[in-house]
Amino acid sequence: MEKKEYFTTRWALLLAALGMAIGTGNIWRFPRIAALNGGAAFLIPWVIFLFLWSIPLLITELTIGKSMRMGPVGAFGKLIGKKYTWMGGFVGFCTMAIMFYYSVVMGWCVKYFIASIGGGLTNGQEYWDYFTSTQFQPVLFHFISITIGALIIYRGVVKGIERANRILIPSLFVLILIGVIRALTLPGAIEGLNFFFNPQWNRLFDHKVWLNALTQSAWSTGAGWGLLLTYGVYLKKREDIVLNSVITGLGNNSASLLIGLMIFPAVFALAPNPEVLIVEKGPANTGLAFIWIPNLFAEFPGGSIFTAIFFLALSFAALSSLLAMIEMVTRILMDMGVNRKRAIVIVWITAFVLGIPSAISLKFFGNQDWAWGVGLMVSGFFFALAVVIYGAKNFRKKLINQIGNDINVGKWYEYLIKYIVPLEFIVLIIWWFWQAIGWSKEPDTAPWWHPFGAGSLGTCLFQWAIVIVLLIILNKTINNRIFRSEN
Amino acid sequence: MEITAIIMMIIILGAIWGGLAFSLTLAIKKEKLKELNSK
Repeated sequence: MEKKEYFTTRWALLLAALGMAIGTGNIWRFPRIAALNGGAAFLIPWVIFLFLWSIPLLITELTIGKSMRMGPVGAFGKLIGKKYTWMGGFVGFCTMAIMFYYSVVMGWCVKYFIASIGGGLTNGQEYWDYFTSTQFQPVLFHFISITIGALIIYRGVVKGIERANRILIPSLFVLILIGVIRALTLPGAIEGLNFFFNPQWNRLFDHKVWLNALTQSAWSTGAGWGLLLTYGVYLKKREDIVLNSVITGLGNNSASLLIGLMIFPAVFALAPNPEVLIVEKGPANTGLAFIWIPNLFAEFPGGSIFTAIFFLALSFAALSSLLAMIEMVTRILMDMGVNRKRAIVIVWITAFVLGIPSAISLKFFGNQDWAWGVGLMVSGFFFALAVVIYGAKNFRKKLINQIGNDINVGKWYEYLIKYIVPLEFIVLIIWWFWQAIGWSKEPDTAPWWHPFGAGSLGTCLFQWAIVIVLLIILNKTINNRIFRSEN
Repeated sequence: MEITAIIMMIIILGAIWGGLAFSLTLAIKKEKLKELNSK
């Protein structure tokens, strides 16, 4: 029997939770989406949805993890009955599928960091084309990334996750702050701040701005991924749930704003056509980070140091999130009776092998990012559904508002989780599918129903259906493994 | 910097960073209280 581990202090949990939430999406997606959607006009719904989607789901996850003491698969079965274990299975699978290509993304960041130290990163486009055309290099750096992550998780919760995040998160904030100071002191930086904070009020009446804000909030905070649930398993009995969840959500958004204060002034100070450049999607939606940032930063004295700082920050953000994903899959295997060391070896090998297609094909990468990124919204909905099945009132009174909480939640939580979160899910999923049908009409794009199209509606439904059907078929077997092991 | 941008910057940063500072202060106070109670 393995010794149960717990986060030693509240601050250790908070650093790990912030590490989980702050990822590469805060750095390269947030500025682009904010710029595309009217600057400060986007920030208003983005703040609103932090409280209407992310924080209620973060509270839900931490509560389930702490109360059930199992990863998402077992926790769903234990909370609402064994016939629903497959729902937790979907949450776990979705995040695991993201882990496969997220390690590839971290590999890109590490490679770019090394290249920027060596001074070989002056033309982003040329470097990207060279790097991705080799195929061997993305696979090698994916291997390095997943190995670093697996080695840290191998050391356990306290010696691994806790120690790593104690270094990664404060360092990440220091790196970002250095970047913010440098960017704000560039001539012309104020124009970037004007662009970021000047609201285009008419955009507030555009439904796309609200839907993009909700999507960004859902993806960026890690709410509904099953990751905070996993960290909740290692919470001490009298540890707070609500305030820690609120700090995680606010901390994640604070980091996004800091990154905005770095990217907007830098791009407006250095680029000849900043408004066009900042919304550039580029390959795998990473144009700003991997193509333009190296070009821009190469233009001023000491720019290579700034580039290195940027990619080191990206690597740290990626690693701290990757750790949470590896731990979640490891936890699921441990719940099935596999010991930590064996589980981590299985996760390490599987993640490396199944990440290779994303490392060698950007088309495959894009397909997975689309299918499982949107799948996370289904995961978030499953959490809300689980609370409804359990009984929102009981969940709030018995499981959330426990002794040890610094603050308790009121009835508002029940309304949010029962009505608002499901409504947000329905509107979002319809909108994303509607967009996918629209994209399919563009030239050289697969039809909307195509099961293997890069960003088609069909590929989402096809992949989700396979996973859900398999999980329902295997539901009894999974239950036997988990609950026999628990007994 | 334009006046509207300055006002919006204060509102947005105030809401998020202010909220975070308030939550962290509350958490520090509660931790100190727990420490005192356990002695």
